[in-house]
Amino acid sequence: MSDSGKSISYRAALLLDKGKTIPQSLALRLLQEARRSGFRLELVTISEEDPPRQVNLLLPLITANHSVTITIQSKKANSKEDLERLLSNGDFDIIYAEKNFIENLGEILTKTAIKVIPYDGEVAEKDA
Amino acid sequence: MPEVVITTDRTMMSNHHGKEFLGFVATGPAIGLPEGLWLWISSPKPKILGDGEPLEAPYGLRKVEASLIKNGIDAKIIDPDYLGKYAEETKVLMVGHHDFFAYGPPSNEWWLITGREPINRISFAKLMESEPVRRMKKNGTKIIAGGPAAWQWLYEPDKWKRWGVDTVVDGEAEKVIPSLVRKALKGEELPSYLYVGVKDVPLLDEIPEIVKPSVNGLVEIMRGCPRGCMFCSVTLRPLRHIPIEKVEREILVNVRAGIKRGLLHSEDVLLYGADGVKPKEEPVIKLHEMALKHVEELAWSHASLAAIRYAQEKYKLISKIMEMVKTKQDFLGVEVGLETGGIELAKKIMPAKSAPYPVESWHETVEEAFKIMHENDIIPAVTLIIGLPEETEKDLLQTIELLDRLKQYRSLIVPMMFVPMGALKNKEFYRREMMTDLHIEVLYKTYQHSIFWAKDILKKYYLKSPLQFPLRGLLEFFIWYVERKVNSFSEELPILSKEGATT
Repeated sequence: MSDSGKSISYRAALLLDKGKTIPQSLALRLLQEARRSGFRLELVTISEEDPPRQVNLLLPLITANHSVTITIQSKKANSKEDLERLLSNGDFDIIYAEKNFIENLGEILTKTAIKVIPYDGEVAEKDA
Repeated sequence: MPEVVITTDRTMMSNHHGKEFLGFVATGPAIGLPEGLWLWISSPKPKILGDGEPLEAPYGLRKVEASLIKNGIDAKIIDPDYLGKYAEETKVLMVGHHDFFAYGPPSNEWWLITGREPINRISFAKLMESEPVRRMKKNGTKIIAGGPAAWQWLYEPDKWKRWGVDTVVDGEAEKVIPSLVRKALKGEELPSYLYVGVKDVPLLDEIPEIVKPSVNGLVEIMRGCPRGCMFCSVTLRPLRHIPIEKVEREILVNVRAGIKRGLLHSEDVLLYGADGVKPKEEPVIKLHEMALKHVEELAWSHASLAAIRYAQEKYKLISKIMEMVKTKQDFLGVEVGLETGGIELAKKIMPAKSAPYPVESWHETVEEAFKIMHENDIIPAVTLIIGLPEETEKDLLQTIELLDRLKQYRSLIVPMMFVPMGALKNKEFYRREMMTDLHIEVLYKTYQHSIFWAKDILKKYYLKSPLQFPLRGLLEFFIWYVERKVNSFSEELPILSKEGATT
């Protein structure tokens, strides 16, 4: 967890699969962890998608939140090398990875030696 | 040249002819009139000081400006027509808005009904695609967007990317914005999105005071609201009452610059200094005595129907305030929330809206408050929401019944279609395919009511100065045009064919 001032933040990386939002269960878990840590959540999202689209894929989290300060840093990864570099330098407490990543990139994730939790992304709805 | 420029589009950067309610015209598409004329009605250009600085700017932008200046950052609000002068030197461009993409009420409703994009959406897009903003982006300027409508960027990721917005900030930004802007000025990596939670909202003494004038003298007297209505985002914020000395200092910033109007902003002006949901007489009287000492005309942003009823029944407070106010003006305008006449729905989504009166007596509270306002020359613009989650036919029938009771009271009732916000922000937007016959009946009743009273208000209260006659003429034409249009299709709708007489 990182110190953002008076309270500690819950800091996590999210590996987002193209076109898939995070499930409500993960959103609620992240918020729960953040509330335990002092109502601050720092997320680093990594995906092939552009940063704004990455934030859009986190709608289940954003719409479930009313009280936690959420900071989202979105990073685009176009290759395995990008992914390895981003994960190694991130100072994360934990990584949540959509299952496709674990199946295809398990070795890289293992190398970072950070706890990795898989999740099943949900196909994103069309924009409003 | 400032390093940081703060701006917004024309529909926001305006004093709306000194009548902020006219700003709502920008939430609709240009109907019956050319777009340029529509924009002039809602949002004429403000007076500009040297170098493109507007005399009056939206209050929220003034708070951001004040926060940055207080933290030693060179920031200035610039009118959108003058951004070209700053395109080469600006390192950070901050854009704020009340309704970036017209997804908020009532914009989304006019869009749904007419099938045409509202003017505020068109205007904001023009700003972001303007040559100066594109040039800034090409030069490496960081763009930060924020304001009450920041959530709307979540639904427009393509525009977010195309326009090169680096960060979207959602929430009360005064505490977080200086460090974010410093990062931007140093060229450090910025977050894509920042939502300000309860730990990072400013305490009372951390809220900066405006240093330059706000549109029509708007000053906040409170933040947050104790009623907890589920459709409302403001009620999620901690409740704070701004000390009267601070309010007075901000009023004087405006008055000294020649802005002789005052607009007291709160979710419920009558709860200023209150303990819970019961108004107290003394703080409200003191507030008005202070404000009227300085301004030539006063307005309220919002009040609740329950507080109006309680204040008058307990203290005759409405009469006392209006006795003071009417030494300077003929009437007081205010926005109030009716939201629904459905009692079961009210219990689910706004159980404290009627407090301290029981929610079961919501109809009595609403009618009593309307009567008090009518008798005291307070003219409300009333919001009503259709398509709320868990709304039933019975709720709509009770709403129609309540609207019938309100026919005799001077007011404009504006229906809104449900937009997911507040505690309901994970629900679905109201869409055209959800519209039922009962919804149409509610819409038609509010239309009949508002057209009738709009004519009365224009005749007796609004835009009475000879200089305002052209504007008044345009509004009268618009009312005539709308009546003609609605009459032309209302006979074809079976649910309305039995509705004939006007109010």
